[in-house]
Amino acid sequence: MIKNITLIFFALLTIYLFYLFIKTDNGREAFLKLRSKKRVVAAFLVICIYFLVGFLDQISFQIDNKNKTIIDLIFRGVPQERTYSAPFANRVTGIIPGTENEERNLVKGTHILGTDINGYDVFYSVIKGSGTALILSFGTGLISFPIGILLGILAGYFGGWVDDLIQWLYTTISSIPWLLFVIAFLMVFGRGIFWICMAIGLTSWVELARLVRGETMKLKNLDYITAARAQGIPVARILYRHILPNLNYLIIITFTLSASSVILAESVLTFIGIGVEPGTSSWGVMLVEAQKELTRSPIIWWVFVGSSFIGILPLVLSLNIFGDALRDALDPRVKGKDV
Amino acid sequence: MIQYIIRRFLYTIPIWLGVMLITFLLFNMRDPIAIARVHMPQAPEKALHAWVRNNNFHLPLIFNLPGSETMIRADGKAHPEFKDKSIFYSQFFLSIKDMVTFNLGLDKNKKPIADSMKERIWPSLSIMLPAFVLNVILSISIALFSAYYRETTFDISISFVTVFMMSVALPVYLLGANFLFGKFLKLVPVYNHTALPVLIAVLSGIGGNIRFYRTVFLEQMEQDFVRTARSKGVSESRILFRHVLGNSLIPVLTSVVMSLPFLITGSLLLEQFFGIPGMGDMMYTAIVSQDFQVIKVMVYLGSFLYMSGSLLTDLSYRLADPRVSLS
Amino acid sequence: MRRIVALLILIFGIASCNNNPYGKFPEGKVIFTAMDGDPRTLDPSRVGDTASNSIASNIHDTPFEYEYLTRPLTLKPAMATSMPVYGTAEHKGKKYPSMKFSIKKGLRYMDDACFPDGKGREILIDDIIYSIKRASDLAIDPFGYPMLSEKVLGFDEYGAAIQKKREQTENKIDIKLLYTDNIEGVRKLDDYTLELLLLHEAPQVIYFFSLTVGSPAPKECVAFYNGKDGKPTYDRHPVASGPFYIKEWHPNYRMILSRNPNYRQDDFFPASGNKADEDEGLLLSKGKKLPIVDEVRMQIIQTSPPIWTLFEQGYLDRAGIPREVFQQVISGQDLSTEFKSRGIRLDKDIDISSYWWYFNLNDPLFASNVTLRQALSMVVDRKEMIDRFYNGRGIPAQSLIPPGIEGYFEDYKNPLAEQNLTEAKRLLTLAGYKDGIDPKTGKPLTIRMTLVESRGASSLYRFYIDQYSKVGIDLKIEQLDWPTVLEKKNKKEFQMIHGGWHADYPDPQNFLQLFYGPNVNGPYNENNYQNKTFDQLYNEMKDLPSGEKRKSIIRKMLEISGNDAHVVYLFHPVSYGLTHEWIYPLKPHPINTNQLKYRDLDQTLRLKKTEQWNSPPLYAWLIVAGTLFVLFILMAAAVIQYRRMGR
Repeated sequence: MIKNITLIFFALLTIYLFYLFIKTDNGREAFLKLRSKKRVVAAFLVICIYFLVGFLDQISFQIDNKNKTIIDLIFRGVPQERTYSAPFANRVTGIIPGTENEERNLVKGTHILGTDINGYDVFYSVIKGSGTALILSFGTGLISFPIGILLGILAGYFGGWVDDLIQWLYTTISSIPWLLFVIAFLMVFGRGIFWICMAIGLTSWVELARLVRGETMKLKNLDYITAARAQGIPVARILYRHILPNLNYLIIITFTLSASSVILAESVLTFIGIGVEPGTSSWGVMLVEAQKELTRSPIIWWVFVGSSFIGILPLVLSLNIFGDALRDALDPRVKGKDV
Repeated sequence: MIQYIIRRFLYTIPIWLGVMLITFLLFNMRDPIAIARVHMPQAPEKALHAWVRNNNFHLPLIFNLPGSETMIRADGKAHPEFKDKSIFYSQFFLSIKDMVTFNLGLDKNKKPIADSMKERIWPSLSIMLPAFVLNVILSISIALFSAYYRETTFDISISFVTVFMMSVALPVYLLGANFLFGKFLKLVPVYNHTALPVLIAVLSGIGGNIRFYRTVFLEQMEQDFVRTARSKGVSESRILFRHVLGNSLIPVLTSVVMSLPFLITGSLLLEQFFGIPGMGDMMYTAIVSQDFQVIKVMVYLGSFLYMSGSLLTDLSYRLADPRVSLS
Repeated sequence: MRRIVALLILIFGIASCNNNPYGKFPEGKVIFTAMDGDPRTLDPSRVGDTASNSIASNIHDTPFEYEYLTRPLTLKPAMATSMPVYGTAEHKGKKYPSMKFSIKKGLRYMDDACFPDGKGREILIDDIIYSIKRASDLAIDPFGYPMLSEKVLGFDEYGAAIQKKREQTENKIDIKLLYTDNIEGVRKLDDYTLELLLLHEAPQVIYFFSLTVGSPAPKECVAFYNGKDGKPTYDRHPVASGPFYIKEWHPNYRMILSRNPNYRQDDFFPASGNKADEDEGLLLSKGKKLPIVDEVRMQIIQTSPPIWTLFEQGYLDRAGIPREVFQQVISGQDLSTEFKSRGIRLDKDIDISSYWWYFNLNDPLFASNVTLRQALSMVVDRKEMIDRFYNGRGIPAQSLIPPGIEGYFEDYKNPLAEQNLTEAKRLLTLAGYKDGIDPKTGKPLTIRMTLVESRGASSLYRFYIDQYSKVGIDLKIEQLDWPTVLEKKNKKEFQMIHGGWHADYPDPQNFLQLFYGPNVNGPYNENNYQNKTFDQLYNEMKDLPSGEKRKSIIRKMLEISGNDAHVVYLFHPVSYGLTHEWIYPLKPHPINTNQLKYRDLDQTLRLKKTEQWNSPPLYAWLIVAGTLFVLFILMAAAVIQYRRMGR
C-alpha cells in the first residue's frame, strides 16, 4: 500500500514542479540559469533517468499468476544463469576443475554487469534497487514534508506560544543524534521500507520546518499580506494562497538534498542489519552480499561495483550537484552572486 | 552575562524533558509482555510477569493517576499500593531519576553499562579525536584556500571532488579500504588499529564540511568591510585570517558542535568493521542482540552531549560577539 | 602551521610501521583464530550448540575422553583412573546393573575467586555427582538430561522433585538448598568413587561422562557466580579443570584461553601412531605434554572481509567456519594456486551432522497429505545447492544418519531425497495441487518456511524460492532472529522449518531419538512425528549392541521414516578450514571439539612468513608520497593561476 500512496505523491510532486517552473517568476529565472550549466543539466537528466526507471518498476501486471513489473518484462529476454559470472563472460565463475565445458557452466546470455550467486543479472538487480531508492526518497518526503510545512507555517505565522511550542518540539527532536534515533526507532517498531520511511520522515521534517518558519516570518510582514489580514481574509486562505506558493523553492531544494541522504542512510542501515526487510532488493542489500563476494578467490567484484558505482554513486552525486545548483539559483540571498 | 547563562540553562530544561519524554515513549510504549519476550524468548507466562515486575514495567507509564491501583497491570496483578505513592511514581519519572543519578542499568550480559562505557570510551576517542582534529584542520584550510583562490583549477576540482566524496556510501569506503590496504598497500593493520578508521572518518566527513565552510568564507569575503580593509592597505593574509575567519566563527562553531556527539558515540560501522572495542561497537552489538537498555543509554548520552555542546556554543557566541542575544 | 604538519606526519609515521594488528607477535606458542560470535554459554551442564561446545570442551575436563589418533573411536580414561567396571549391585532387595568408576586423586580446579583462598581445591567425586544432579534439573535446560533419563535409577524422580521445589518457592530458592537430596541410583562409595545403578543395561551412559556435561562442577562456584552484585553468571564464568582457562573475555571483541597451570600432569600427546598418521604429519608433536600451546586468542569478528584479509596476511592462523547446527552460508574459499604456493592447507573436519526441513505435522496442509509431502521432498536439487553455496563440500542426505556412524548405509538410496521434478509434479497432481495451484484459491499454493535470518543467507533462500517455483509453488520465507525461531519451533508455530543435528556421541540412537514419538515434549521430535512401528523398532534397537541385528532394524526404521516424508532430507556438510603451514596438522575428529590441547605450531616459521608477506611494497610509499605531491602541485598552481587572473 505504501507503494501506491508514494506513487501518487510522486506524480503530484512532479506536476507541481512543472507548474512551479512555468508559473512563477522565481522559477523561470532559476530555470534559465540552471539550463546554462552543463553539469547541472547532466545531473538533472541522470536523476530523471533513475527515477523513471524506478517508477517503471512500480507498475506491475499479473502474468502467469505472478506480479511482473515493466522492468521485469524488459528483462524477460535476459536468462538466469547457474551462478556467478563475470560481465560478458561465457562461463560461470569458480568452476570445479574439469567441468568447464559442461552445459550448465556455459553462460547463455550477455550480462553487462555479470550475474550474482543465483545467476540473476546484476544490472537487473541494480535497476530494481533504484525502485527501492525511489520509494524511500518519496516515502520519507511524503511523511516529513506535510509535517514540516504545516508546523513551519504555523510557527512562523502565529508566533507566540504556538511558535514556542513548535520550536520546543523541533529543538528536542534535533537534539537526539539522528542516526541513533533512527536505529532505536527501527529496533522498536521493526524494519522494512515502511518503518524506514517513518523513522527518517519523522525526524527529518525539522530542517524544512526551520526554513519554512523563517521564510514565513519574513513574508508575514510584507505589505500585501498585512493588507490581506486587515481586510479580514480568513487565515487559512492567506496561508494557502499567498504564503505557501513562496515556499516552493524550499520544498524542492530540501527534497533533492534529503533524497540523497536517505539513499546513503539506507545502505548504512542495511549494512548494520536493520534496513529493508529481507527479500527486498536494494543497493544496501547488494553491498552486504558484496562483502562476502570480495573475500572469495577468484574475487567477485561486479556486484560491489554495480551497486556502489552504477547504483548509488551516480544518483546521489547528481542529486547533490543538482540540489546545490538549485539552492544557489533559487535562494534569494544568493541570487545575483556568482558562486 | 550571568543572567544570560542562567536563562540559557533554564531553557535547556524543557528540551531535556522533551528528549527524555520522546525517548521514553519510544522505548516504553510497547506492551511490556512483548518487551519481556525479547529478553526471555521461551519463558512461560509466569516468568514473563515476574520479569515485568522486576523491571518496573508494571508501573503507570507517565503519571500515577488515581484509579491506577485498581487496574490490572502488565504483570497480571493489580497493585493497591499505588494509591499511597505520589503522582510521580511512574516509569517515566523513575527513568528520569535513573538518568540523573547515572544509574545506567545492566546490559544483556548483566554487566553494568557504566563499566562498559568507562572501558570503551578511550578506544572510541582514539579514533574520533584525531579524526575530529584532522577534519577541522583540513576542512578549514582547504576551504579557506579554495575560497581565496577561487575559480582556479584547484578550486573547481575541489568542488567536484568534495561532492564526489559526499556521494559515496560509507560501506563502500569500508570495503574499499579493507581491500586496498589489506591486499595492496599493507602500510597499516586492517584490524584493531586506528589508522584506517581515522582515515575513513576524515575522508567521509570533509566533503560536506569543505563545501559548507567555503560558502561561509566566500560570503564573508564579499562583505563591504573586506573591501574597505583592502583599500586601507591591510595585508591579504591578515584580512583572511583575522577578519574572514573571525567572522565565520559562528557558523563554523555551530558545525563543529553539531559533530560533537559523534566524538563519543563513535561510529558504529567504523569501530565494528575495524575491530576497535569502543562505544560505537557497543552500540552495534546492542542492535544485533536487541539490547534496548544499551541503546536507550546511548541515545540519552548522545542527546546530552549535543545539548551541552549547543549550550556551550551559544555561550561562546555571546562571549565572542555581544551583539548576539537570546531570541 | 609547520608544527601541525610535523605532528601529522609523526602520527601517520608511527602508525605505518607495520600492519600487524597485534603490534608484534607475543613470545611463546600462541594461536590466533577468529569466531563470528560469542558462545552462548560455557556452563557445562547447559552447553548445547557446537559453537559453544567447541570452546567449553577445552575448558572442562571429563572422566573419559576419546583417544586422539585411534580409529575406530575409542574412549580412554582421562580424569578417571580406569575404564568403568560393569556389574550388578543390590539395592533395597532388587538387583540392578551397575557401573562403577573412580577419579584420580589430587586433581585440582583452576584458581578462582570463588574458592575461599582463591586457590583451586581438589576435585572430589561429589562434584561429578553434582553435575549429574544438575543434569536432571529441567529448569536450567540441561543438555545431558536425555542421556541419563530412563537409564539411571531415580534420576527422573529426582528431576521431578527439583521442579517441585522450584515451583513451591516461585523459583526463588537459593541454589545452595536446591540439590541437597540425593539421587537413589547414584552412590558415592568413597570420596573418589562412584557407582551408578541402572534401570537396564545401558552402554551409552558412559558417553555422558565423556562429554562436557559430565565434567565435575564445584557447587560453591556455581552458587558464587549467580549474576548478582556485578558478578557474571556461571554461563559466562565457569570454573573448571581442563587444559585451558579463560584468561580474558570481552564479549563481542576477544576471548583468550590460557594454559591452565592446575591441569592434570599426566596428559600427553600420543607417543606413537600408525604409518598413515605419520605420513600426514600428525605425529610431529609426539610425546609432548599437553596442552602444547600457551595461549589461544580468538577474535570475535562478525564480518567476513577482515577475517579473510587477516588470514591472507598471516595474522590469523586458521580461517574456518565454526560448526553450527544452524546453516551458515560459507563464503567460497577455493584453494587457488596462489594459496597453495604459500603453503596454505585445506583441513577437512569430518562432521557427523545432518540437515533437513521439518513439516509441521499439526498443520492441516501437511497433517494427512503424505503425497504432498513426498512431492515437496523431491523439488530441491541438493547437489546443486551444495555445489553453489558450499563449494561442493557436502553429501546429499538420504536419511538423517550421516556417514561415520553405524546406521549409515552406502547403498541405501532414498528416492525422495533427490530432485525429480517430473515425479514431484505427478505427485503434486495426485495430492490435489495440479501445477502447484491451490484449488481453493486458484493461485499457486503458498508454503511458509521459517528460517533464521542471517546476513549471508538471502541468496540461499532465493535459491529455495526459485527451486519451488519450478513446480509452481510459491515458497514464502519467514526470516526471524534465532531466539524467535526457537520459540516458533517450541510452540509448533510453523509450516516448514529448519532442523539439524550434530552427533554428541557416535551412536545412531543419538539421531533416531529425534523421531521417537514420545519425545515430543522434550527438545527432540520437533514436528510431532508419530509412527507406532518406528517407535517400537526404536525401543528394540536403542540398547542393542552394534551388529547386524541392530543394523537391519535401523535400516527398516530409515525406510519407514523415508516413506512417511515427514521431513525433507537435505545434506551432510563437510566442514573445512584453511590453515597456514606453520600450524601442525590435526587429525579431524568427528565428535570431539577438545582438540585445542593437541595444537602445535612453528612460531618462527610464522614470523618469517608474515614478515615476508607483509612488508609494504615499494609502490605503496610511492602512492602515498605521490598523492601528497599532486596535491601540493595543484595548490601551487592555484596560487599562480590566481595571480595571473589578476584579482
